[in-house]
Amino acid sequence: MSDTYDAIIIGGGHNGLTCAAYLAKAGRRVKVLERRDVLGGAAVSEELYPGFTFSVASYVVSLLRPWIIRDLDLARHGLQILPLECSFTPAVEGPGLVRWPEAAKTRAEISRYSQRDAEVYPQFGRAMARMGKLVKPIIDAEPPDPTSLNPFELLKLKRLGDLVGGLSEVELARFVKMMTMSAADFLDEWFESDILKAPMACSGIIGTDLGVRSPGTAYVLLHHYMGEIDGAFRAWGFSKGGTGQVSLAIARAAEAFGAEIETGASVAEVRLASGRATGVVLTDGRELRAKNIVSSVDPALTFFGLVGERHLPDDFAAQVRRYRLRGSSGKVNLAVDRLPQFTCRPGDGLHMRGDFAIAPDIDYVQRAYDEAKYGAFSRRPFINMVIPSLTDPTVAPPGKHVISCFVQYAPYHLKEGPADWENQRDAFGDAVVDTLEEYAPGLRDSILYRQVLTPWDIEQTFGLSEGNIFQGELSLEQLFFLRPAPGWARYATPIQRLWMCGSGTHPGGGIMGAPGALAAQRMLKERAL
Amino acid sequence: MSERIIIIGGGPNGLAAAGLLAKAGRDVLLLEARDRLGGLAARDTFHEGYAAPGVLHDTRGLRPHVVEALDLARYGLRFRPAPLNVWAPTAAGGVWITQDGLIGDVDEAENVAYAKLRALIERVRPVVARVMDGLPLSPESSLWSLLRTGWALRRLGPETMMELLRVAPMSVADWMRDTFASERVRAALALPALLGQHTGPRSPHTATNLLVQEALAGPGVLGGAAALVGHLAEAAEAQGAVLRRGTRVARIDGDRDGVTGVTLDDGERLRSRVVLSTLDPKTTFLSLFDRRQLPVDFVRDVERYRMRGSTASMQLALTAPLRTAGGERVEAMRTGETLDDLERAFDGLKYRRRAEAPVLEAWVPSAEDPTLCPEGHAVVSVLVHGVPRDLAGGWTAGERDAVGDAVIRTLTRYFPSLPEHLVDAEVLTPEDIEARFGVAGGHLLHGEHAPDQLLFMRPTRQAGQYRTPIPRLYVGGASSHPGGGVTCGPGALAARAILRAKAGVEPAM
Amino acid sequence: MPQPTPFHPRTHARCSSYAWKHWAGYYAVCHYDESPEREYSALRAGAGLLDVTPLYKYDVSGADAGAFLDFVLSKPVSALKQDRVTYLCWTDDDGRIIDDGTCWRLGERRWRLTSASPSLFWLARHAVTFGDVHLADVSHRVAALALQGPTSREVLAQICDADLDRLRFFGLTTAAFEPGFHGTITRTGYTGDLGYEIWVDNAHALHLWDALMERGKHRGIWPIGLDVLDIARIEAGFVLQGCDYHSVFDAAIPAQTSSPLELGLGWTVKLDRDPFIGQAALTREREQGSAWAFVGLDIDWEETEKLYAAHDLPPALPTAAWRTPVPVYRGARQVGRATSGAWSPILKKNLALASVMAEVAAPGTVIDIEVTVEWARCRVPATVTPLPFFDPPRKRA
Repeated sequence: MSDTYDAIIIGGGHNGLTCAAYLAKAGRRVKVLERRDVLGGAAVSEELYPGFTFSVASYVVSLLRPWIIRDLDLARHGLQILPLECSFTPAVEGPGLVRWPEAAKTRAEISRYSQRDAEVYPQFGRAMARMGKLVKPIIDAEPPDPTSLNPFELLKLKRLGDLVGGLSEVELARFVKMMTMSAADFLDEWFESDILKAPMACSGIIGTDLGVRSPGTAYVLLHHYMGEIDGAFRAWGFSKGGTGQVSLAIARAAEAFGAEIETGASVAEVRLASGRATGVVLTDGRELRAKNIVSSVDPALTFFGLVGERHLPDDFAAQVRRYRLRGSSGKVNLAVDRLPQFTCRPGDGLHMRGDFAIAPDIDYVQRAYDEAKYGAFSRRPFINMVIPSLTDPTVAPPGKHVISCFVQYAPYHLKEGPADWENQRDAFGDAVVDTLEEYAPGLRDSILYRQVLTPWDIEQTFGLSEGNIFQGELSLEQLFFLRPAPGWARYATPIQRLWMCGSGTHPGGGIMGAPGALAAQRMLKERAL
Repeated sequence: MSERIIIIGGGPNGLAAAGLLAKAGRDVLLLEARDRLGGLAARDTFHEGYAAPGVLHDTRGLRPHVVEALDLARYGLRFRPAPLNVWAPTAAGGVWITQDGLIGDVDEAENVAYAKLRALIERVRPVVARVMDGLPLSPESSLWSLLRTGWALRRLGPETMMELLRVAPMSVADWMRDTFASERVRAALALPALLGQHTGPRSPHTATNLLVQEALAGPGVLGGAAALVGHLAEAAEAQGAVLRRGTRVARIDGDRDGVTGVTLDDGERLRSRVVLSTLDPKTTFLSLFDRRQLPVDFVRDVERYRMRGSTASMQLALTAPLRTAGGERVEAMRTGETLDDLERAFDGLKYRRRAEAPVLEAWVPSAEDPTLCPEGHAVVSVLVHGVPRDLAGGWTAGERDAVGDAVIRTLTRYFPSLPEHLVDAEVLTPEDIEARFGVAGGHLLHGEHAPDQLLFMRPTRQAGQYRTPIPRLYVGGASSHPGGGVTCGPGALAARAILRAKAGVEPAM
Repeated sequence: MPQPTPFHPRTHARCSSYAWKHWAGYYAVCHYDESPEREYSALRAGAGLLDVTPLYKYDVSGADAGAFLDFVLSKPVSALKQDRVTYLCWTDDDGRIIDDGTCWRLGERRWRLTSASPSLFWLARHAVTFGDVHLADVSHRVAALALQGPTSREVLAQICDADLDRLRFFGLTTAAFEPGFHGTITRTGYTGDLGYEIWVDNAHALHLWDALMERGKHRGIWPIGLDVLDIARIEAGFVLQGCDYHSVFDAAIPAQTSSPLELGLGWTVKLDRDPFIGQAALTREREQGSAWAFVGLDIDWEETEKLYAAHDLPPALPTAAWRTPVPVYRGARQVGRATSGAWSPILKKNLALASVMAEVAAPGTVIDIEVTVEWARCRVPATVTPLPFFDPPRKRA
């Protein structure tokens, strides 16, 4: 059947494209279907205002796996990551804090607040890097099945056990603390100054429905030290031309390997025949057949939206139903006619070329969460801001700038219901601008264009259920061999020939590419195509 | 000649250890600072004619191996025929949690869900009991015991095992939401998991607290914790242990070569080759021992040990028992009608504020023990969640009264006639609890139950096997595995560790 | 960004080589002219003047300061006599070294501690458990010069009122300096020679420098940089943090840490006393013996020459000390690593400092050290030699 593909991939985000590229590279006939007219899913760049290119949703590249960049030769296809210069935590009073890649500079910065913390900070980095060695093998391989008695599975478990067993007693204790404590409690064990702890703690809550004092938020701190383990120091960066360029580079690689990619092709349903996926039906009525269907959209949309609950085993349906999505963040993108001036550190120095954390102290970010818990957006939210146009002049006209603000908390589930975001969108945008205005007076007047993406908008625009940017919370009960559901962590689903390859699968969200690549590898291994 | 063992602290753990060590032929001297035994479960008269049996009441977690080893039945211990029915009130009447299921304002589906939950708990009970009743597993544990536990876990079958792995890291709120449709039921079942927590039911890992509590639960001791304390004391004395009340230890003597005894606050020195402290680690190591004799990393771990008291206790003297509007007698109840009510109660702690609307767990101990108050009257003992030890601005009489007022306000919502029957009441803030019972932070569990403060890491990795960096100084209170609550587990396991070391199985560090 | 020390206007003006390095957040001169030989000769024949401001300096005072320092440091300094200085180190619980430095007794309840790396967090962590202890980081307030070499006493005597003839080795005195300010003189140094270190408020730094240079010019004074210091300290057998050993807090893995006993600093450790950090571990190590030893190596020069000759090359050695560890062998087996080394201009020997397994640590033992000549890795015999290599009597005189 020449009109039959080996695999149809639903969703042209970075994971769907990565999966397609790996399958095509292995010589399979692959087609990617993207509902929107632009590729990239949440890793997308769009010119929303003339002359200004926005990384609309995802805005920095952190953990894109270096082996994927090598395997797919992404640099040849146009990928270039420009490093983030630093992390700047502005203050309303006092000098604020900038953490630089240079240890001595950072020490001088921190010592303005605490001599002790300045001395301890490098030790913390080393301790984290040591822990990071545990995370890397976990995110770069598919999870084992702990219930299996198959010797190969047991061997995998043993290898993981050996990793942990290779730690000294002190490190083991630290590892347990790291995996289970709250970011705030964990950092309290090391540091005393709030302005240092707060932005660090916030890296533990990004995209979650948790606060900095919620247990289990410490381990995400590790991700920030992963770059160093990867041998790619300063792994956090902007993709030149916007985040969408990551997706486009992967798409070009996939096409170079022979994959077909179609945009504006919206899948209405996955066609099943006697319990097997056999093809997809598009909203324009076309029907495409394939030996395998691979969904890169989230589990809720895949199974309830495209497959239909009635086709699922009861247990599995229940598991998907309780899979937690709960989007908690929004995006505010600004086009401005001049660079903002931060009172605590005016000018256009290097400190402006990194990311900004509006997280002056632990109580501030905890309060932001305590408000959001009961179904309202934070009046004074945690904001992670970048000005990519300073590093990458191609994204804005000369002298003008693009500002990208990741904002938390913006709970999908407002107490008035998610649809009420339509009424609260502007107020949310105002809260963000008002907050920034306190640190950088005059910002408001420099705004040429403002885009406010609430979790509701993220769901509507990108098809991410409940606006969850990671296609499901990265909490322990939804990670590793439990992502997205116990027993279904290896990209297969209860529907034969239907696979998953999105952030809703191991190892989860962020621009990693690992789910797409690992899913492709699993399919090839099982000779599914 | 048998060497003397000194046990510091006459709470349930100290008493259990005393009994077991004496039974093994040791010369045991237990020292209790107060003039009565029982620790957090000690009886106190708070108003002429009205006494409360301490602040901890839930005896369902009492470890059966202790009951058996000390033959407590011989000393009068009886179990309740069934656990107390717990009332989860609402204005409309609420729900009763009983042995036979949920009764009241719930539909049948909730009872099905409840039965499924109970079934899960019954399935995991043997595994939880194995882990909690043994010396804590650690990286140093023998391969054999690790394998046996691993095997017990696997024997649950893949589904239960996966469910266990899934639930363990969850927040109790999420678990209850997954399980029940009724917000009232969710909140009522979630509340006990929050005892001693610093954050509310949305906190990951709190599901484990509930799972473990329920999996270890029996019917509870007839007469409550106070009765248990009596039986334990009798058993210990019958085995020959000497229980000295009103004897406050001022210092634990010794150096890094080993412990040598204790010095009392009146200056008397008692020599002993082995000392077992059932006090919390901050008191044991930072107050009673010369910290300069301890490894500095150990001291730091003890300093970092989290025991931020978040619960006050209140005793009420009433002229009549508590009855629902329908006239049913209430022996135990939990307020907080929604998970958000629970969450809100814990919000203030992070900012060192007390909850405006604390959530309550209340018992009526006089229902089982008529000696507590005049006939026909009642004593109600309440745990008040959402009250910080380190209140911003410090504790004052006014702040203490405000806690009492909030409790009475809440109770009156469900018992409108309560103010008319109120004779007197006593509020113990966490600061008061610290002062009266000598627990640092006024923390009722001697330390938060969090994954990094359980098993071999409770209270710290260097003291997680009842041994400490000081040879022959042991710990065995609620801040040791298996943790806080009236279980006698830590004391019994500490006794086991001491006896093993003596027998040469395991050398003292 | 590194900052200039208070002496920068003078050091900068003389530093024609532009060879600077970063030292503890400051700019420091490596060598002033193209070749460090002139500086070396000045040090061993006249008086070398070195800016040592970047050392960390902590003032510790209070009724319990002595007890606190005794608890933290490898030897008790509460017994140190007034106006005496001692060299020591400090460790963690496991007896692994954190840092080394000097401790001065300034008064009944006052001490000063110098260290190679920032130590405030460690001191502060333990100070809180002692009642009356005040810790002050004076690193950025106190400027320091090392004046080292045979004529240093004469030079210094020209500009201050201190009775230097009575200032013994590791003694301390305050002094009035000629331009009209006060400072502290310690008879200490890192060169293994007669020498002094002079400590003054930043405000007086340039006056001090100018006075020394002016009054010392006929007595052989010469500014020296860190390259010469490095050669001198190797001749003197002094360990350097970050080179011969790593602080516990800088080590990536435990195997990179050392104990004082392994580093030949056992003499700075007094075990039999009140508890101090690391006591148990160090006691155990002293009883059981250390696995490693810190030794000097005298690298066979004739054999080295032969290697060069084989390539038809004259022997060539760098003028500065080297700091890249190289393996040492006994037969086929690696028995340790040489951590730094230099050609000693005065001894005419090729020297190295090495951490070796205890079994090859006896003086006179011959082991092999790796040497690279023309990209070929070779081995040259080296004889284990007691430290220091160079120890002139004038140091203590």
